[in-house]
Amino acid sequence: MMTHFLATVEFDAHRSLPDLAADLANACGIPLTKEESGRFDEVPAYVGNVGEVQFTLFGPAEDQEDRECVLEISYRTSLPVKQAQAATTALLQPVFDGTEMDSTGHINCSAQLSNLLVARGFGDCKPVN
Amino acid sequence: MLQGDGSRAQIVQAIGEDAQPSVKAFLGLDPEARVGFRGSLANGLKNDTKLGSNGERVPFDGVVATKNGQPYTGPQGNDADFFVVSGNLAAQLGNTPFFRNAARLDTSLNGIFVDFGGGLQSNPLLSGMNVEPATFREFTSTGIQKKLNAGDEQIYFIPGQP
Repeated sequence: MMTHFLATVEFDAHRSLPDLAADLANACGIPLTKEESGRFDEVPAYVGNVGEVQFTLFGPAEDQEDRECVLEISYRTSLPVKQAQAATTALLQPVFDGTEMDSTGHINCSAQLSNLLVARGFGDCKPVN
Repeated sequence: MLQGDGSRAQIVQAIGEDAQPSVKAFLGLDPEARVGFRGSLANGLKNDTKLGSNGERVPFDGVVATKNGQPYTGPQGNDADFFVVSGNLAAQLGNTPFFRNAARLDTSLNGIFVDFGGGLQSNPLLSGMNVEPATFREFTSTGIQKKLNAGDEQIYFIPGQP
């Protein structure tokens, strides 16, 4: 039985993707590098990971009307929920403070991630559900 | 000139066979879903922002020398841009505007996609392919048609293909 946390948040449209990637790295120690493999088609993205926790920061494609950047965090592990939470960094542990699976089998932590980032100075960060 | 060990037709055939568990899983979620791939593998050429050392268009598995007019030093290799078309599944994924990752539909899909990507990477016919785990982008019918109208090449998997 795998444990799979998911969190998705968005930021105001005025932010540029490279600047936001740098700001997240500076404020939260989230290591993000530009995705070059084409894994996300024409959608520009920065990716990184802390252990098994995967970070993907999407920006708008050129023809996209919506201009908000979106950060997704995915944490898939064979550990039980509480052990999984304890296995992450002190910074990220509050994000994975959830136990209830939704109908897709994921534990949605978008609200917790948004709270963390707002507290770290990203006042425009909102959860996406 | 292709750098893999097989022609593109053979590669497409091999991917179509390996994709069947993923296709079956999507059809279990929506019997009307259509599954395929697009981009350079479907087209045969990388997009025209990526050029070879003589400024020529590059085959899907060729070596990129420049990208957007600048020397390119990033990873080489090729990938397949997998997609699933379903309005029902798009609605389930909700408000994620840029890249709706179909793996978010159900945790049971992750293992299937990991196996699919791993199988492709271990297939000598598909050397150089970056697909572990395989990522399926979710499109509505309108969204995929918009890509087609813009010149996109798209190949759909036939369900039940051996």
